[in-house]
Amino acid sequence: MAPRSKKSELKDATGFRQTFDQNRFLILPDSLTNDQNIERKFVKLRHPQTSELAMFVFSEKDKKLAQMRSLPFDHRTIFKDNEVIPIDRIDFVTLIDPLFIFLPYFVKYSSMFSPLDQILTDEDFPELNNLLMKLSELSDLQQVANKKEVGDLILWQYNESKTLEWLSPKVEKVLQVLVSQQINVNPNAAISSTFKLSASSAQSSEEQYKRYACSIISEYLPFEIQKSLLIHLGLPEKVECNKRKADGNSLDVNKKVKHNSINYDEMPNKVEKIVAPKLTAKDKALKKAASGTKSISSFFKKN
Amino acid sequence: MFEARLLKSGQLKKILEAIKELLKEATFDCSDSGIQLQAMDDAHVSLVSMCLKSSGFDKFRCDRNLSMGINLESMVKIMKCCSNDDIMTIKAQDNADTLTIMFETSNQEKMSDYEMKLMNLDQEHLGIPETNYSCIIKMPSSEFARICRDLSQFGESVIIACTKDGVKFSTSGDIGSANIKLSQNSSVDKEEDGVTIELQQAVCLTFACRYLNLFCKAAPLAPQVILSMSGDVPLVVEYQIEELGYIRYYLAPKIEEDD
Repeated sequence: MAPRSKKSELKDATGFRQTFDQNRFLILPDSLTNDQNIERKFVKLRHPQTSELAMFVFSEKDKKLAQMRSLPFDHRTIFKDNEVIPIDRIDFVTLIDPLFIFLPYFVKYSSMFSPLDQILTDEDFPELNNLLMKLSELSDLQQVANKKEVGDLILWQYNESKTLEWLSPKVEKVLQVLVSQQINVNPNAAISSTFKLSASSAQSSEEQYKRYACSIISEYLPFEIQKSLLIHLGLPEKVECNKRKADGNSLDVNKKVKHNSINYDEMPNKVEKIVAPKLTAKDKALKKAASGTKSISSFFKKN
Repeated sequence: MFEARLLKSGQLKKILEAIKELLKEATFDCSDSGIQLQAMDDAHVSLVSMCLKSSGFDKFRCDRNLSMGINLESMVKIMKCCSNDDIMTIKAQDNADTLTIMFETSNQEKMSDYEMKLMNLDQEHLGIPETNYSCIIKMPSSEFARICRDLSQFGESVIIACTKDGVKFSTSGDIGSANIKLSQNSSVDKEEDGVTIELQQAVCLTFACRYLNLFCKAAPLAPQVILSMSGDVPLVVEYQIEELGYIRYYLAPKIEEDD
């Protein structure tokens, strides 16, 4: 996924570079580099999709949060004036809405209205709590949650339909970019960006674009919201194998695909069937009849 | 080795019919005095105790005490393969994991044998203390079955109240209430057709009707049923199987509701 996003990120990023002891090469957006005096911190937060710790850049004064995506980039060098600098890694820093970070926390507390400091608590990493509260000032929580004021208390509850409304325009925007950039979104084949097909066969359907855009946004969403978003956008659950067979004729060019793409996101979906013990209606009725009766073993001693 | 020959296989058929709905599987303990069975139902509110005396069999041999875990459903299936007056023989080797059941027609023209796998069951024997019951009611088993069936239409629990005047079965439910009162009557030809009550103290207890109905499945085994009750102890429903032994069902009383 990373190479795909590279293209769009490079567009709005200017070449601000910095070398670390590890020889990292950072690409930052202008907005983060305009004012050199502002302090910026590298922080670790839970990634909303994987819920594992990931690196983010937080600038408190700027009120901006940015994520870092690193790409191993071994044995490369860049020129800086007359100097040759080796690099091992390229880091793309892009701005991100803190709401994405909050989503998993909100979903967890979705059953009731709760105060914000209760929702934004991380049981495993309590050191994140302060940071999360600070971040909550940067964004409009009402976009994903309902607000309720009870006396001095302000209570919040996650609202799925609001969230989906908030996400839909984002998918639409990504879709526009994909279409205007003519990015190959064919799920069955990778195509070199320099390889141009004739117009007719290169055209991908609207649905494929939408699905692709959705998958990009989904990289920042917990699994449950990913599913709801797909439904909200009117995209049926993907059945990959069948699709390939069904569309086989129109995709002649891509027939010799050597590797199947496995959608890892869908893996946890497969739940093993639990074989319930057989209980007939008679058994159930008998069980019901037995309720309210003392146990016979309370009268007779065990030998 | 264990071997038992029964002239009327129908008897065992009826016995199995009488317990198969309460118990899914049970351990048959064989000794030279006979076959015994004691088991609780899944909900542990009732207990079945059965005894078949060795003298009731046509031929009985049990060299070593043997416990056979039997799936009653499977056994019923096998018993369905015989007719009621077939002669039946049950055989098992010591430490065997199968039981052989043979049927022969009385004219010896047809012989069939079935082998059934035995199971390993955890058995939990309960000691049933000798109790002097406050009242012992003897009545025709068909009458008792009829009462239980009739009352089960009205409510889930039956109150059995025994006084010196007679015994009263009552229940109430959504549609209303029902009361059936039986008085002693000794003016009948056969003793088993009458209702007799031996009373030391009046008793009133509540029981789950569905269980009583299941006990009544044993009615074909005996013309008479004996109900023994005492305050706050399980009810005993006993069916004497002619010459062979008995089946006793114990049912714990319902807990009094406070409201």
